[in-house]
Amino acid sequence: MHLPDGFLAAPVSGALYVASGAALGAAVRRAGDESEPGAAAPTMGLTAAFLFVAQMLNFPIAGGTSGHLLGATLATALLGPWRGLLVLTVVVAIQAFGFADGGVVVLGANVFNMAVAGCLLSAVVLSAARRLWLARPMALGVAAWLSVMLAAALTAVELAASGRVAAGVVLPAMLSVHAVIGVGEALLTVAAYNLLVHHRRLPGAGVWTGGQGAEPWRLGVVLVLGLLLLRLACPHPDGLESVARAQGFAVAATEVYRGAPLPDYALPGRSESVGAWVSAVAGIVACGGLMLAVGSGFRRRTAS
Amino acid sequence: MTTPGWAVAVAGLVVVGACGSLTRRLANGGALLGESLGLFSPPARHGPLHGVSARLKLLGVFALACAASLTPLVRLWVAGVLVGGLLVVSRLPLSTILARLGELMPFVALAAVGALLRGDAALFALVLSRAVLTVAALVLLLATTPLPLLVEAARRLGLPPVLASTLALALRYLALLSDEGSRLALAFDARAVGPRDLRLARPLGRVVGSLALRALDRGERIGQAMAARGFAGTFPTLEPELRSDWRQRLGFVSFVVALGIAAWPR
Repeated sequence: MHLPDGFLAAPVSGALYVASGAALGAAVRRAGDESEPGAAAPTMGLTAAFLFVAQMLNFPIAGGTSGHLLGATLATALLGPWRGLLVLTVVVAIQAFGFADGGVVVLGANVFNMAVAGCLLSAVVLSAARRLWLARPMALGVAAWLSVMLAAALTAVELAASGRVAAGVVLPAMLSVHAVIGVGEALLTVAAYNLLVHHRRLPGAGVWTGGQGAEPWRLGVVLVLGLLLLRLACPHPDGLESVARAQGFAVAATEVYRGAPLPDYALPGRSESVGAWVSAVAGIVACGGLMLAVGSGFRRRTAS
Repeated sequence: MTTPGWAVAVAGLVVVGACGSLTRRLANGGALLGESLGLFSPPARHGPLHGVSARLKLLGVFALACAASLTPLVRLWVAGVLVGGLLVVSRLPLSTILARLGELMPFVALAAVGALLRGDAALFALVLSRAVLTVAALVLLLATTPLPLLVEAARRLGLPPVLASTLALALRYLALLSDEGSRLALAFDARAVGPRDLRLARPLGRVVGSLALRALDRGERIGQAMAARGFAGTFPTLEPELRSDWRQRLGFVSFVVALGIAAWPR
């Protein structure tokens, strides 16, 4: 699931750097404790090292293939969504810089797929399960499976948006493989959690009590909006459009995108490559600006 | 676009080497990280690049990765010459460079093989040559910069303190937890009976859980020890090694400008 460099178009990786940066900024604001600076550092550092090692334990899947743990749900259950997100970001960064597992340019995309989306989704699922009186192991399993599926779907959509593969090809392929890997992830997560509970190291950090459960909803909405805006910066819409055509709403889509600020990514009177660059930068700025605007709107509403 | 023959030949050689390195790693008694990992072995020999500010080196790797992913295949030789020149200047032993490249390449090479399987040789050569350049730059960075200095440089460049201290402690205890993980995995392999399929996920989950238990316990003890020694959120810094003089800055700027000219769309 770690995308290497060169697999995503420049605007897509740029936009995902912005999205991951926004999520990390929010996480840093909420994860820090001013009363005792650095008190959480050892736990977070050791959890990052633990998740790194846990991701290297392969589990066999029928048919000779194997998968490995992602750990987003486990990190959320151990540390809460914000600290879990930071810890997984560190894991992904070490994998990229120290082991060339995942690229440097697409680091933002990898952080978004595996750390940000996984932890926020897990927090949402866990807090929803608390309201529904769902048993905790069950909730953990569902969250773990969904986090793997979301990461796979995001990876596929980003590849398609970069024009590398048609979405109709890559999306079913990724999802079908990861539906099985996700079952392994769910079983591993639940077993690990049960062991921790058995040893009275009850993980929690607010996800079960609801203290941190509500906020990820808002950031989730912001990030989904950001992903939709990614469409503006997308230089090769063919992949996504093939799915749209299959669904039968391609006509509506062309109507919408003919009104895009830089149609066909070419400024009049300029060479095409310059137009593509300008539209890429414009798309990134638009994504970032709109996400910041929506995010600050949410913050103001919560403050009042 | 026509693919230069040399690019395909080089790419093929790299893939063969990388696959050999991967099988060696997998056959290596199931060790998770391996003993010969470049990340944890000390820098080989003191060369001119060791004295360059860690901040400039980190920024240079980012610049190179970005430029390489924007440069078309025909002009990628500029970045290649720059990285090759730095590798020569660094006076690192060739054996070290090749060994570390071999350790880092498998992930990248296996991903690039996907493009080859689809029959797209041009994309394959492009992805692989970009990846080789970026990985060579990473090898250079890691071989000439101690890890604590690298984390401090990232913090000075704007990495939030929470992330910086998490990163520093994770890097510090990675090898240790990896050893514990290897031992747990070995014990699991020795005792786990039954079909090797998804049914093993539950007992393997207990292995993961006990690793988490050890990590949390150790984290608690480390936290108490650090608090007893007066840790308050920041690590002591090594100031002089982060400074850069005008010659370093000039070299950095010309490096980035050369990359930018090669990557400029035309």
